[in-house]
Amino acid sequence: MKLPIEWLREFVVTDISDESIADALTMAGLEVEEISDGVFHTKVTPNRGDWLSVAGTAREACAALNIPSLMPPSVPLNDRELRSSSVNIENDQDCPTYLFRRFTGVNNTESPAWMKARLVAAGMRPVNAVVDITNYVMLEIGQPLHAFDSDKLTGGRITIRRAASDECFMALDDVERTLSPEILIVANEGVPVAIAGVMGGKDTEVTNRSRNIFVESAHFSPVTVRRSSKVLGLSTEASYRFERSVDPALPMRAIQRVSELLTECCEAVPADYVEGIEPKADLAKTIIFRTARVNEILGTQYVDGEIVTFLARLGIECTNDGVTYAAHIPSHRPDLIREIDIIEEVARMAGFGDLPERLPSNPLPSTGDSPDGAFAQKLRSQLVGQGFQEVVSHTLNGPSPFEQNDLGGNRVDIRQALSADLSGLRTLLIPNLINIMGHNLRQRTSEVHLFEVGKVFHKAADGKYGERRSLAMLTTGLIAYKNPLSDNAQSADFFVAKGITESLFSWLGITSVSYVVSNRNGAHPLRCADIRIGQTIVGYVAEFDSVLLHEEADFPAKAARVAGFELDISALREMSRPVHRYRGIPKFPSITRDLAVVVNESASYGDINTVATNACSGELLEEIGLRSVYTGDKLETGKKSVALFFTFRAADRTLVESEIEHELANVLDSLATNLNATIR
Amino acid sequence: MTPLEQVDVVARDAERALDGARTISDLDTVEIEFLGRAKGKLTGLLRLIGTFPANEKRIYGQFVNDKKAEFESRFLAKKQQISAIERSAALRNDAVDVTLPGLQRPNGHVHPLSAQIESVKSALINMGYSFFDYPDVEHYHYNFETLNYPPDHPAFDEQMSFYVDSEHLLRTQTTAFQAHIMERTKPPIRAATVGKCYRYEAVDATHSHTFHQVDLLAIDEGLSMADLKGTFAYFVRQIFGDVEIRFRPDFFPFVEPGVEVAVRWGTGWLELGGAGMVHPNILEAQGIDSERYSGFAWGLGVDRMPMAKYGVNDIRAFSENDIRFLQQF
Repeated sequence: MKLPIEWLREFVVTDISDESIADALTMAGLEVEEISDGVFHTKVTPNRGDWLSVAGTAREACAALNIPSLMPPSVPLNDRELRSSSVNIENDQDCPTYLFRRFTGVNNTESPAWMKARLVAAGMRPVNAVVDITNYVMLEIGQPLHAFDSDKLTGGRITIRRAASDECFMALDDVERTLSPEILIVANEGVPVAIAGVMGGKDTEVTNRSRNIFVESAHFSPVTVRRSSKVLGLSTEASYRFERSVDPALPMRAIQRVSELLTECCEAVPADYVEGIEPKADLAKTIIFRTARVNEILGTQYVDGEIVTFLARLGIECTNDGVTYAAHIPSHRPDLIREIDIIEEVARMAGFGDLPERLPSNPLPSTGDSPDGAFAQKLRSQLVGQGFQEVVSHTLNGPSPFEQNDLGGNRVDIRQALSADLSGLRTLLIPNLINIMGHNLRQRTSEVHLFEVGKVFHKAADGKYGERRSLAMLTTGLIAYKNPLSDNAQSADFFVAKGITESLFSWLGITSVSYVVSNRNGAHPLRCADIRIGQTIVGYVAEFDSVLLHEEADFPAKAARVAGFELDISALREMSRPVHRYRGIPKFPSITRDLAVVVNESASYGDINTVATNACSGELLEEIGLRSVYTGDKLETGKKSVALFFTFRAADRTLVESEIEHELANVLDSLATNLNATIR
Repeated sequence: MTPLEQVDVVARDAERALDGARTISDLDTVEIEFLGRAKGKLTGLLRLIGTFPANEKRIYGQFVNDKKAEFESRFLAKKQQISAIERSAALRNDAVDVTLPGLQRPNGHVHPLSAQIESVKSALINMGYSFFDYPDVEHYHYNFETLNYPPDHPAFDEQMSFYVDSEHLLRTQTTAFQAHIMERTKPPIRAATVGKCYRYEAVDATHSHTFHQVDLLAIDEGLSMADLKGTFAYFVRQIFGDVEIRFRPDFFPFVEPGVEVAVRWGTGWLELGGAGMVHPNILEAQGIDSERYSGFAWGLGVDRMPMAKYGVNDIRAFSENDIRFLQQF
């Protein structure tokens, strides 16, 4: 709220500086965010509607500064006669109090300059004297008021009721609205003339020509006004205040204050009586509190008198029955409900900075990070160690041609999304990594090696939402800087990406991984493999389609190869086996032999490896691997040579040459039978 | 020629050969020719000792041994000299310009937000808090209702939150974890969670629709505001070092008393988030005796921590992920 400081100082009588007053308010919970041009900009918390006025703010400032509080001047009515016959309230839950007063002979020109200056400083536009005065009283004491032109309010039988579902209403903003039973209205002779607590009607508007007016001062329930405001999409200074609760004792005070100002500024003649309905019930409320409990919660050692003194600053009087205290809560504090609220008031007045400080005397042992969090951190340090840059991307994103329906699942869509790029939740990380890489390439960074560990989301067929942790990597450009003395430099490609996954699996102790030809959205159709562990697809590794990257992700036209992978690490964490048992270092030497065979070009290395592995005695074969693949003019067309190495070892003896020869002969036999291989 | 003169001749030949040697391989030849065990000319002289009469044997033997020893010592000296020359030549051939760039691999870096989250986690784990994960897509029951939000609170607004259906939304605060924890654990509780939160905000230098928050919940007998203050101070020392701390009253439906916590940073206050004593309504709704147990909680913004520490003045830098930015951390 914007509060002109000179206005505030009418009620805060002190020599201290504006800054000190602002600081006192801030440290009492009403933050003064800015002081400019003689105005405090306060940030009112939703529980404290009483701070939405100059007087309410002044009351808090005086409490915080521990000085006596002055309230706006007001002469008690000597003619306080209530006539209720003309008002009918259908439900006093919606509206416990509805008062109004008629004024005649109003000279509705401009409001005085001093009043306009204050309104403008507080951020309101002067309209005419009557409207300005009702706004002024609202700003000053916090009670929203509405003035009707009483000549347009013929009949004058006022009803406060819910609207019918087909009723139409033209409000002061010139918008015609169809109402509904959620909306509370003020009706005159059955016709809506105002949306209660929100906005008045065009038909009964006060103009410069209005001579006779009807000023409403009512209390509407916060929930009702909020619902009306929400349903209509209409928020006003009045509705803002009612939603945050207005002091229920204010309507009569506001009538008095507005009467003074209308008489003084507009030569208005008030009616002899105020009409309407005020609740009979006593607004007074008491809260029982215990000094011992105050000290338990605050960690303090106050004696009764200290607490009573703190509360007195807030206008909360306390009475004592010998065991407990009763705090008598002023009507402007509906937020104070139970003992804990009283304890907070004590703390606010004492100042949180001055409360004692200690560490809990009974700590518990921690179970550490969550399993997913710890696993993510483990993977993060492994990839960073391999030279990859971690990125953190938004979970909210737009659809992408690089998504995979079967891996990611159905997107979780945001209802009423405001923009395409915030339309749903990411199903995989790769689409975001591609966008980030595109950004960096456009910034002329040519080596980009990225990874992300994060949640991905999907909506299951049964409508439930699923969240998994995913790890994705994307790489392009040189993966090591060129050796200054040689020309060798490896650039990112399919095998670089695949190699990272292989070393990850080996590091995690995950075996039985297979790479199966696949065709993924956005991938190079012939450089893409699904990654399977057993029968489960846990992700994929691919080079990405350079045309698609250029067209869909704005990659530079001549970008280097882009390769990457995505893995479901929620699944990997389950499969990852920590070392259970130490295995002895072999006592006997191993023997390694190479074997080169010529096969058809269509034979995959995976098949050759499988056939060769199966042909060896499991207890002797320690390792099998690739030496090289050769195709060229030394071979028949359509053939390739594949050189493998085999490492054999026996646990209990040194192997002899004949055993090795036997193994290799079996391998060759099996390769010949199954894959038509010949020895090279 | 007397036998001793013959010895002299052989010794002089050996000296000449040694003088002529230029390389280790020349020396090897000399060594074999004169000092070889089988056919060395100097070593061979000793074998003639048997042909001398007894009284001359000692004189002859002594003479040959002296000459041999003298030669051996000169041989060794020369060998050391040539070795040194050859070794330094070999090293010279291997010289590099040490100012040429090394063979670097690209450096990996942890994202500054991840790094901050990890240091926040380890600080709290050190203090006895256990971390738990809860969903980003949360039921409004956990995001609002269990947190003592009155019905029709402005925070329920669609404009403020990303709803995915009429009951689920992207959590607006990790504080949503409180009821999950209390449903599965009875006091004493020392729990924490960290993660992304989402609110409809126009994105600018200091606001984003997504931010990271770390929430803490402690429930036990006898916990007070003083324990919250001490815990926060200990945490802040681990994250920011020795800085001034400010507790200011603030309103959150789930804490009473509620405070905003801030640390002195530069000339101003860095507002880290909200904290307070767990509202007794929340404890009671979870079947926890609010007379016996009390608790404290906080929810702090993580993004502001590295922004303050490194002087990052635009929150969008964290999600833009420009390598030139990320590699500075």
